[in-house]
Amino acid sequence: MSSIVRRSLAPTLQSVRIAESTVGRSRRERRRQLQGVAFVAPAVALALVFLAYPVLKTIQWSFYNWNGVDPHMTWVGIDNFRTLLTGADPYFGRAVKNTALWSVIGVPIQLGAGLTLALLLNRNLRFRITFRTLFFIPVVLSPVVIGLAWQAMYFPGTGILNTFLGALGFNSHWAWLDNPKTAIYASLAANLWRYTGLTMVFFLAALQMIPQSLYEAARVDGASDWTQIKRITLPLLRPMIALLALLGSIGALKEFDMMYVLTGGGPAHNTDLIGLQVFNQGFQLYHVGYASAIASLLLLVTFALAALQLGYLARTYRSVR
Amino acid sequence: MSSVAHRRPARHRPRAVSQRALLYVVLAVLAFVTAVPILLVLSTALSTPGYGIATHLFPHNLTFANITGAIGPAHIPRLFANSLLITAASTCIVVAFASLAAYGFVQHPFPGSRIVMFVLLATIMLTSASILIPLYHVLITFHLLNNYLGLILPYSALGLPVAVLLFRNAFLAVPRELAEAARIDGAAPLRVYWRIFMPIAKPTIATVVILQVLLAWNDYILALLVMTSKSLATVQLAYITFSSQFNNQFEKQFATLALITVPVIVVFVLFQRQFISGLTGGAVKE
Repeated sequence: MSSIVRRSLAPTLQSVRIAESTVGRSRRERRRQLQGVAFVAPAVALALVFLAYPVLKTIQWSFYNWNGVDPHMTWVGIDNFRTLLTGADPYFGRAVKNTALWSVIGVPIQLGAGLTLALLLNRNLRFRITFRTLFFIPVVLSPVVIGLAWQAMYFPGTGILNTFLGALGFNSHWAWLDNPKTAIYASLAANLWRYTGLTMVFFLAALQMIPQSLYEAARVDGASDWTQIKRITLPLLRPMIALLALLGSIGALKEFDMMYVLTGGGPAHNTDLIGLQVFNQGFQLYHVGYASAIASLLLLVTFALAALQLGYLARTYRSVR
Repeated sequence: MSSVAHRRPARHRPRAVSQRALLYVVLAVLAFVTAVPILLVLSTALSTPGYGIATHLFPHNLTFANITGAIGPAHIPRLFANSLLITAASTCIVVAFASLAAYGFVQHPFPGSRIVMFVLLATIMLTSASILIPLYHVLITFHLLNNYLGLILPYSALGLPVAVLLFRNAFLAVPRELAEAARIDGAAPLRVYWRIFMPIAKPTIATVVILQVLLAWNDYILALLVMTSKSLATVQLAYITFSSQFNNQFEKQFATLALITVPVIVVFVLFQRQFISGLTGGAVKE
């Protein structure tokens, strides 16, 4: 009798138990989600106020003519962008050219120098870590220190570079940073000094991933050091080279604090970069609308480069797998 | 490293020995060239005033007169205290907010959390130049100019996205069973975060701390805009006391640079492994 009851009730009891646990689980699930919202909230609030809102404002202001103070803002539609993109502003054109130079000439040299250092250090050396540390020091220095130190390097007459050149019998009165011909290259040298150590450690990391057996096999086949670099090292470093080239190009778009100290864009806009233009137009000439338009273009290009980078990385990883 | 195994026997050959010596010479020369701008700063800071600047790599008539003469007028102790406070506060905020957010994204997903995370991570690409003007207006609106929070909060926001990414990657590597077991034992979410996730993420915490300290300690432009009051300035603004168009006191300027650079270099040399792996995303081994 009791067994019959139990048997007949069993399915009902079971379904009741299931229903109960579903209700419990969904309530628990809701609680977990709410807890998640609470965990994420502080970070999101900070990012909303100090990152997202400024981005939206930059985009909005780029359609206005505004000095940043006046309560009245004049809507000018796409006029700011038209001025920028049609080349009507020669200073902006100069800044774009310099930024392009910064990545087209600067990035390959930086990659070459970083890779050379990495190849020199990627072996069993005494003082290996000491050398690596020394080469990396500039990376942790502040833009103020780098800017002022490099100004001192280039002083005409007394600067260390000119003293050195004078000792070799060259003209020792060249004003490297004040001469329109050399200013941008002299600035680029400071930037190269600042970031080569960073490039080097990225390459060192990539070099350590290459299996030694490949080199051993090549040596058995009698391949020279140079052939090994050309046939094994460089092809396997391709993803890292691409990544660093993209990071370097994004760095060129970001650059402005060290240059603000080193040259401020001078002489006569000869070392202007896009990032410097935003600052000068916005904070020194009070062309806030115009500066915002430049900043919006900067945002667009940076995000495009970043998307390119992500796409490339995704493809590389897929092909590796 | 393992790459050496094949080279060791080669060392005995005379050609290999001279090659190795050449390598050391080349590296030493390159290291010296790298050190030149830093030596220039130090030697100018430690040379007799009026000698002229940047002509020599080693102090001429070694003197600490520039250093001692710079400390008072530039309020160096005050600026160090300001910078330490701002750096420490923003570092604490970033570590706390970013790790909590990453824990939320990984362990407590909610509808839309993936989108929120994606947008947050996309702000990694923001260049500070492109948001500087509205950021400045936000700070005016909240009366944060000449206020510690006026630097602490923006620095925290700027460092936050990368920190969230790093913590997320670290938390994703935490074994699922570990968190589940703790939860079944009835541990509250914050307890799981504090007792399981944060201890496992210790290397990540170190990385985030290093990145944030460099960001906050080295920033120049935002400090220049926000701290117009001399008593609230950061160390990066110290040199301005001695820079004017008509009376540029180079030795003292460089004395302030030496004062703010030497501690950074010392800390870096002590923790160079953590710094380098932090800045390369942990990819470098010894």
